[in-house]
Amino acid sequence: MVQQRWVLLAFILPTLLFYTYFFLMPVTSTLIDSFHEWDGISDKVFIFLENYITLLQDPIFYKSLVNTLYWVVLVIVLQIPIGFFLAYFIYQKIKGFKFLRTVYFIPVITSSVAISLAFSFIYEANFGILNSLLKLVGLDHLTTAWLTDPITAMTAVSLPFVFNYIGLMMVILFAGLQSIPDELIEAGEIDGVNALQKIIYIILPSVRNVLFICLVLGISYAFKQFDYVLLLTNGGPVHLTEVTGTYMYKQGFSQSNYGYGNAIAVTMMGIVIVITLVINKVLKPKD
Amino acid sequence: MNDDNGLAAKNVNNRLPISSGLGKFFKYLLVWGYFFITFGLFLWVLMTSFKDNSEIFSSPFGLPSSFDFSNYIFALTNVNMGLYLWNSTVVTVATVLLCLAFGATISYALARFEFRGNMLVYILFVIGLTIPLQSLIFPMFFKMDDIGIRDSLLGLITVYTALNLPKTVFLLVGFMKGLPKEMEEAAIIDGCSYWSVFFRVILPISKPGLATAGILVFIAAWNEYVFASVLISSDIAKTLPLGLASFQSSQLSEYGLIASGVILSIIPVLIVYVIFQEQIIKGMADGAVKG
Repeated sequence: MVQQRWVLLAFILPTLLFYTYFFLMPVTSTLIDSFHEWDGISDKVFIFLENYITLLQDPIFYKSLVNTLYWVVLVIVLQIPIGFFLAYFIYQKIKGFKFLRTVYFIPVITSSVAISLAFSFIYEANFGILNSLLKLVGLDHLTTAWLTDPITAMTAVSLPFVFNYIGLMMVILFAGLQSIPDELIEAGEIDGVNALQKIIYIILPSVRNVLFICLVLGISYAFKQFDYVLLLTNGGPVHLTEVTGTYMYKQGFSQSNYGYGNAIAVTMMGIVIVITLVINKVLKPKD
Repeated sequence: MNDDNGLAAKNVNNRLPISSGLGKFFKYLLVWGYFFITFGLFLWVLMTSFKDNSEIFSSPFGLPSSFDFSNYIFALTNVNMGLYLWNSTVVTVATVLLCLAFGATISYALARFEFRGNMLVYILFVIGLTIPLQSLIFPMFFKMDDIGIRDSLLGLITVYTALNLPKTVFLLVGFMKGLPKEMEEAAIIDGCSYWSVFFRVILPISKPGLATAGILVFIAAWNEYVFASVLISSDIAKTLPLGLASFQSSQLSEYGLIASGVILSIIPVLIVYVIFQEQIIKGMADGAVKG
């Protein structure tokens, strides 16, 4: 048995060492480097909280944070509600629901690059779908270069992100709906509630926990999924579509300001972890 | 009592369709509207991939005049999509295998044995789940540079394996904890070592869990863009998402060609999805719900 104990180490150590070296150490490096000034070449200079103090006074960082929070808002007002209603309608076993569910999930498994390219076709100024459709119905004056027009750019670059994860929200909520006991819904029907009341008073409270999970997930995606901004606008025009992720990326790889970039990274981590903890806390007593 | 219930239920059934006339409209609008957007977009890119530019401009929404594969042939031979496809396949397959090998061994130990530090090790992986992975981009870049494998497929495989380990371990520990213990105990009484228990009992009965984790890692690795764009600079090590993105800037006006690249990148993952969709949907929902 003593020998078997040693065998156990053989199961644990390779993975643990790999994970420590290639995952946990980078996490600590991010933290440590955020207290330094570093251009990636010369020696790191310890400046303690200076990066964070600069961050707090950086208008572009605030702009990027506001834009990221705009994504969080879109998660709440578009992604989750659309995901919920799709799940709810499919849950009612409408004809062809399996096929519909399959199709709805396609964007979730598609790469951000492919989705970006598809949306760049939609937004393209000359032959893009959107402008073509507008011309078709005689609304020529509404056509614009969606991704560079300061008024439309931020929303235009956000929609692919919303589109990407609606299907994921749907399947999570669908799983939640399936776990509602039939008696509960029947009891409501006996009490004579109408369709809307049924959703508000029976369905939504029953999937409350799952809705919170969608919220946590959506917020974490809003902070980490900056591929779309990188690919479609690269933060432009003039930082109008900058999100925290792209700002971090640029501080490091285009400005060689790695310490500052890491400070943004740590701030992002902090926000996501705090939000996750708070929502978990809110959720716990009712579990 | 029973009669009453029946009557009430009937009433509701009568009342529902009337009160939800607007609801019904909303329902079909959403269900088919969203279907139209997802499926329509896919079909439109597919149709565009068979057209040349003049046809795209003259009939952007029409069927292609012929199913001409010249865009695909050009993409695969002249703009290196063939190479990128190969690189993506190598990186993805290696990442999946490594994640499963690393994940299954440690998950077996964590799920089946009580030892000092068990919980601590498990928590280290759970912490990994909550971290927005993109925030590790700078240290990953410099670490790979230091080791000298940054601009290579090996570097990508290493990074992807590390990034996907938390969710693999999380899913596999959960799965293995739910397995019945009788077979293992019998094997141990028969004098089998932990290794043979692992290979002969645990791995075979963990197939569904391994499949779910493997597929999720497959999708993540196949589609990953941000880390690849930072780590890879030479054309010979580019993966499909990178190739596609550089395509967009270099072949900006060749829309049919870009569309064919998009379709090429979607098809493998679409095939995997169609075959394993129940498992993928369940795995993603479980991973999210329990994570």
